[in-house]
Amino acid sequence: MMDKTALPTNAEKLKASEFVPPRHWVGVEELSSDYWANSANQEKRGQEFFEKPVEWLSKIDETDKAGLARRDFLTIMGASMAMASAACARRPVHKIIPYVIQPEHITPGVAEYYATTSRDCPCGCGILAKTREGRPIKLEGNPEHPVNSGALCARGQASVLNLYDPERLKTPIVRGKGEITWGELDGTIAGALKTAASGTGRVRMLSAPSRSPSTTRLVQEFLSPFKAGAWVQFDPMSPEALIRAQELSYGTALIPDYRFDRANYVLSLGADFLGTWMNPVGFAKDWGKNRQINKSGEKDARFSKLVTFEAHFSLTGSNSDERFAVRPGDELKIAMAILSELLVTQKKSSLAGDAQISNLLQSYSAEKVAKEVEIEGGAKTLARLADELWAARGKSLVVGGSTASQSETALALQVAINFLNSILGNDGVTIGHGGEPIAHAVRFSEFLKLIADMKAGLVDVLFIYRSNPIYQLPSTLGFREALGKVPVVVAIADREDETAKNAMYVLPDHHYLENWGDYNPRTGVYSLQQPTIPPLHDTRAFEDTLIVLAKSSDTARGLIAKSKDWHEFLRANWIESHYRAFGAGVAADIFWENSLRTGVVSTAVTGNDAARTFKSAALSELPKYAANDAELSLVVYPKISLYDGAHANNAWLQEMPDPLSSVTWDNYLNIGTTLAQKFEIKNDDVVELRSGDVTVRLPANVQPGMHPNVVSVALGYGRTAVGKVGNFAGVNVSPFLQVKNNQLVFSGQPATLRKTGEVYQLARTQWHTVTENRPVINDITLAEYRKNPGKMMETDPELKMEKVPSIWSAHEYTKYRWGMSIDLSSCIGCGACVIGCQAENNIAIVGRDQVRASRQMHWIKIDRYYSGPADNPSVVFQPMICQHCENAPCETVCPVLATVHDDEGLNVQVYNRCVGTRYCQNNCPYKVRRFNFFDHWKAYEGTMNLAWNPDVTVRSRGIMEKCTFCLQRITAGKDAAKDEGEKAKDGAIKTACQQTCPTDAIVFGDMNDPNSRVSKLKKIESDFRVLENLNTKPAVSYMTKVRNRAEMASAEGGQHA
Amino acid sequence: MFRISERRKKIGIALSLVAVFLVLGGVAAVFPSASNQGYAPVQPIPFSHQLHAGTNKIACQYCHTSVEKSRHATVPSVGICMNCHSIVKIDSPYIKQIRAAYAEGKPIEWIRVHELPDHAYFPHKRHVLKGIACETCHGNVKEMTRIYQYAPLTMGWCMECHRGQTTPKNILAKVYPNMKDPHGPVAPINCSTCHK
Repeated sequence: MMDKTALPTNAEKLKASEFVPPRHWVGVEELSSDYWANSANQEKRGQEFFEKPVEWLSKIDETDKAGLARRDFLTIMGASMAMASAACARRPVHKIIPYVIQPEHITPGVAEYYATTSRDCPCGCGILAKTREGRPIKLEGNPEHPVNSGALCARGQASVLNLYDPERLKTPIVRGKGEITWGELDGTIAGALKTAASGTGRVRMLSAPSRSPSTTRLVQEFLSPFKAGAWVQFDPMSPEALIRAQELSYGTALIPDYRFDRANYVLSLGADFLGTWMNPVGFAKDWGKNRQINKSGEKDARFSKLVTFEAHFSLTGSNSDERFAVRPGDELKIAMAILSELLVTQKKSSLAGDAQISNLLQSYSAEKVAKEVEIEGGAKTLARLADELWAARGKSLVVGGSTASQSETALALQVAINFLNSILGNDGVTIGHGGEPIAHAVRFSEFLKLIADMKAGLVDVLFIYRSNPIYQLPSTLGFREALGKVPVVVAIADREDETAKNAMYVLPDHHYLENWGDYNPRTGVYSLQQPTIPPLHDTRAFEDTLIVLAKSSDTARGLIAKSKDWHEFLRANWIESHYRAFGAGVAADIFWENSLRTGVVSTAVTGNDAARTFKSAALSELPKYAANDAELSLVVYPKISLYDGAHANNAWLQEMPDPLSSVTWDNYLNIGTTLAQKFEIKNDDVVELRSGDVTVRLPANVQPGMHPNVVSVALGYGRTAVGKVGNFAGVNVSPFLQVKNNQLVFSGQPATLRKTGEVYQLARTQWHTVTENRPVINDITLAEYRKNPGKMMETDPELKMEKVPSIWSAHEYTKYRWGMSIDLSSCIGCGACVIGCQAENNIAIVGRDQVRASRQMHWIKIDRYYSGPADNPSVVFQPMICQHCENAPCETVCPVLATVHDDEGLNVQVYNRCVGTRYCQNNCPYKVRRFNFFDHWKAYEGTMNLAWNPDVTVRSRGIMEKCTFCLQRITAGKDAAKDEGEKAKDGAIKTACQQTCPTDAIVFGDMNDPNSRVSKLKKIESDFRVLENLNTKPAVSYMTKVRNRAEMASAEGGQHA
Repeated sequence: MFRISERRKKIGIALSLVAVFLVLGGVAAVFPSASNQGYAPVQPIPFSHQLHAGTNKIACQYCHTSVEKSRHATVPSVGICMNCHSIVKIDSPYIKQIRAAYAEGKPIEWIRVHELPDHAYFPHKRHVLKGIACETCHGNVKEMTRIYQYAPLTMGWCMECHRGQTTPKNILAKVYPNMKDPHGPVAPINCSTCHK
């Protein structure tokens, strides 16, 4: 098949009889010969820009107030000429306002870092918050933190913008009266609490599951004086089935410690562990450790394998070596079939003789399952996977359970997975469970009981802390009506959201960067959270609110009674809990300060835990085989950018392209190619989706790799009370959730489709920077890599460097020469770098309409290429940034020398010289330059302006910009090195994208130093430069994508031909 | 054939000259020199460098504390004034102003004198640590009763020094220690050196 790798010319493609689809394709249309025969498409692909930047003056007034019509422009220019001639040249008077008393540790112009904990999602990653003059401007992973080891995801990077959200609630409010002072408010609520304490005591607390030991203690102490007080912890995204299955299978309810770094073989049954499941940054970091074959420089290095069965095309699926699209609920059948193969057919485990088990498993034979689920290759495939798993026993890991697999059989799936892991000897090795388990009193049934109690009038005071059931759950559960029956409802939230709008009192909470706290992200890890800025508004920490209320209602008990405020409470509890274990040899005060400095205390995981005994009673949860005859099933999944939608008002996240669909600003219906053909649905067609009594209208996204009987839609959109960025962006699909057996069901509901005939243009970045027909990607199977890592470079004429006589004289680099190497085998396409770069480099937000006109400003774009058949393609992600070419095509065409080479190999863009001809953008073969059509920075309002990085120019209208290799970080690194009187050490300077990458796919450094990591990587055979035959000599190079499977996929054949 | 009379020719030349002057004048008016050399605004408190740095010989770094640590030299906080003025001249009306600011916690709003264009990032730290005297760019501050902008602070002026044309002798000697008559470029002149 490899002889087909050379790309056919357009003329060749026209001969349909000999039509060979391209090896890598961007959109599914490229797989048909009609597409290539169409002259309009040919013309489009021959253009400098695949999609021409659109110039609509009619739209300007709507999109940018600074935009002017031509006539207005002439009028104003005429007037300003006259005024400029008359006015004097003196610039405006600026003031310098120094501190009254300068804090000892602050030096204006020098950044300070505070170790704290990311709290805008449940992962609990450790962060170092970079602050300038007392305001956090960038969050970076804490390298010493065991959860994320220095990396941070897109949502973590973007959470600094949540702090500066101008639409945060700024003062407490009372329904009907508006703003109120804290004093008045405390008096009123304390009164209600006093009555409750002496009377029925029916006080309820509703919050997301708490993993903060101190907050947990505080809430428990707060509720203790109330006879019927109860705390209901609820989050639709929490892995309740997994925790319950652990209890059923092994006796203790806990979230196990998944150790992907020890797994040579990972089977994911629906778990998007690289994207949205549980702790994706830490998982990606660990999993990525076994995918570093390129960088190891040894072609025999360890390289793990990932096999995925999933109902939705997730980020994990796109990084799989083998991926199988199934219907929701089929994951269980696959697990059972593999168990059946191992135990019944091959009799591999000691449990094979158990009659009860064999009886159950026999009904799930590999043949039967493979036939019903339509697995490619049939039962042989399942048998092969079972063999591979068995061969890797003790070094494999089976996981499952994102919302995409949270169907009615979610609990059974988790039990089957536990059974499989136990049989494979993974329990205790790749699945840790030692130490003190994290208390997870999360039961959806408790939440349902709360609603029933509220409806029955059995709740007097209800606190709702950062929980938004009215948005997150279907209205049929009746939470809104139930709220009306509670006399006192106190919502503690960051804004007046859908639920808070129905509360009597709304109390604004601190952002986590303004607050104290602690967190227990996993067993043995205790992370500390400290304020990095004084509160921006008249807000109060939830914990302080509880302390004040307890004291003013005379119900303070325990540590609350002893503590002045939350800080004191936390400090006392921290020292009480951890001083003995972690504070050896120092005084308690010093231990506290050390903890603040490091941000975390933890016990290292060494060795294996004992394997737990699987309780065969749990097998009774496994259902009898039932055929799935659903014509069409619905999958509801969280997106990597918005997740559950709590931070939908974050414009960075809204404008972050989805890794697979590349769509921004909206959610959409993912529909497979086969199904799309059947319904004659094209991209952007508005479709009516119906399931049960719920109907929504959504634009369609034809997603290669979706199962023909499945459609999927993302959660987190269609907010109505989050703010002007997130309100009404997309459609809320939470009404599709169902409750079955006291469990929340996200996926597997039967659905119907109807094409409406309307069209809604999704803002997708997919085609914006297509590099004509030139291939830029290189992939290879592991077996071939082991033989010859550089094979593709030798066979692919486009990637092979032709010796072109250069007409340019070479640049001289005396000190540094910066370069980068990006490993396509490690890159998982998560987009953390996109947002990290946005925060570091003051990258503007342009809005939905401007993205449609291909005017998004991201300096780093994750290009996604498919290969293989349209119904189940393979994916490769390629981070595309300015290549800092040695012979840069942009430099030669700039008429004003605004883009030039510097003596450290950087291709620099000089904003104050640029006049905006855009010639450079035209001439750039990589299409990495971005033009400011408007003053996009003006979209930052009010407090958002505090998020700018003062070391980087904020670009205004009419100029070009692009990746600078984080020039300001290079300068800072060189400055620090000069203080020591030496050259910057290798690895001391990291670009923002490199710093936050969870899989260490990006390596940056000095190519002048032969011993630097980047220099060494560039000597490895699998290293290639994109479009090298153009003689641009890029400073960025890529390393081949390696796939751990038998054969490379081709467009017309299957994966395992 | 069409012929132009001498008179018409003269008028033509004169008119062209007028047009050229108008255009040049217009350009000069629209794009005046970026320099604010000599700018000496009245400050809210008539602080005298001549008295502090000159007569009393207080070192620059005593007040401009971050000049060796940061890109900003920083204007001192009121706290630094109070190091001395909690005892010295406490009856002077201006010192009373300072003491009031300190007591109320209200910062003094000084008028900014030295200001580089928006796109330039100038680090005081690297220049000072290299041994460039403050006076090189700020003039003889010890004699200024009211501070003013001594140097043009234009890009050309920066470049002359970086290229070695106007560089102080001690710096040249440091860069070219083995040269008898040290000369040549002393600092990078990449766009990226100052424009981030």
